[in-house]
Amino acid sequence: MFSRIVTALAVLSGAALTAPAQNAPPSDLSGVWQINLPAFLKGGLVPQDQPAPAKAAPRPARAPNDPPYQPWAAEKVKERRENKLKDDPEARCLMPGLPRIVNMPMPMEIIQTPQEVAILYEAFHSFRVIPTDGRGHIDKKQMASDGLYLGDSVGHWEDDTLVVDVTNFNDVTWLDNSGGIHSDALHVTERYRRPDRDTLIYQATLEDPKVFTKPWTVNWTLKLRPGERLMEYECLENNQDPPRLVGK
Amino acid sequence: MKLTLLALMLVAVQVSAHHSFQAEFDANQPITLKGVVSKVDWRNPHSYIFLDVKDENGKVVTWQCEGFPPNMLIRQGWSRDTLKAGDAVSISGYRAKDGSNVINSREVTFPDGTKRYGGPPAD
Repeated sequence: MFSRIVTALAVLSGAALTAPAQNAPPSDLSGVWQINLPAFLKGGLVPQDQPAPAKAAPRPARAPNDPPYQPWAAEKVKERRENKLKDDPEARCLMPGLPRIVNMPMPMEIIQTPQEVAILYEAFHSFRVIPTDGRGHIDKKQMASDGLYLGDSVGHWEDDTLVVDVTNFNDVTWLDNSGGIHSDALHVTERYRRPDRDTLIYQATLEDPKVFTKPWTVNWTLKLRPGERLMEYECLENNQDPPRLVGK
Repeated sequence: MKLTLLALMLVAVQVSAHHSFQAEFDANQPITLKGVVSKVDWRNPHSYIFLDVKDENGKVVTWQCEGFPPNMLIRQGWSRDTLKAGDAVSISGYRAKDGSNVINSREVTFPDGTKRYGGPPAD
C-alpha cells in the first residue's frame, strides 16, 4: 500500500515537474508596449517605422493606407471623411475594434501564462484574453451580444510568433481613425513577434468578403516602455465633445 | 521625452486621442487667449483648463480649453499641479466650429515664459 502511494506521488511530482516545461510558451511577449505617437497622429493606421522629419517640412497631405474597398464601402468611407469623422463611435466612448485598439496612443500591457495571453489596453480600459491552450472560438449562442467590439480571439504559437484568429465581430467599430469600414464578416489574423527585448512587431491581415475585394495586411512596431504603469481611463464621465461634433 | 515633443510639434495631425479634430474644431480659426485659470478639470478623455479672459469691453468671459487626456499629459511631463486656479497664462489653440467659447488647446505659456504642449499640433 505504502509503495503504491510512493509510486503515485512520484508520478504526480514528475508530471508537475515536466508539465510547465512542455507548456512553456516559445516566446515571452509580456511587458508594457506603446506605438510611436507621431505616426499615430498622422491618421489612419500608419506603420510607425517612419522616422519623424529632421526639420519642419511642408505638411504632408494625408495619405491613409486604405483597405481594398468594394465601391459601396469606398463611398461610405468618403462620406465619413466629408463629415470630418464626426460619427466615429469612439468619440462616444465606445470601444475601438481591431486593429485600431492596437493603434491607440495609450500603452497596452501583455500578460502571459502557459494557457493564455491577456492584453490590457489602457485606452478605454479594455482587455482581451486569448486562449493558447487549444480552446476554440466561443459558441455564437454564448456570445455577449450579436457581435463583439473586440471580436473573439483564439491563439496558437508558430515558432516564436503568437498567431491570433479573431472572429465574431460587430459592424459598429471603425477600422482606424480615418473612417475605415468593416462588416460583421470581418476576420482578422494577428501575428505578434518580439525579435528583441524592446520591440514587438504587430501584423494584422483582415478579410471581409462583404467590404473588401481582397485581404488587407497592416503592420507596425510597438516599443517596450520599461517602468511604465497602465493608468485608469474612464472615457464617458468627462466626454463633453459629442454635442460639439458638428462635422463640416 | 524631448524628442517626442519635438516630433509632436512637427507632424501634421488629423486626430486627437479619441475623436477627430476637424469634427469639432476649425483649423482656420486659431486663437490665443490670455487670462487667469479658474479651474482645471483633470479627467479623461480630455483635460480642460477653464480660463477667465477679459473681452474688449472689460467683461470677464470663461473659455473652456480642451487638451490631451490626463494620461497623455502625465507622460509628457505634466502633473496635476502644473497649472492651478489663479495662475495667469496664455493658451493658444483653435476655436470650436459651433461658435461656443471652447478651444482645442495646443500650447500653454506660463508667466515665466515657459511653454508646454497640452494638445497635438493642428493640421
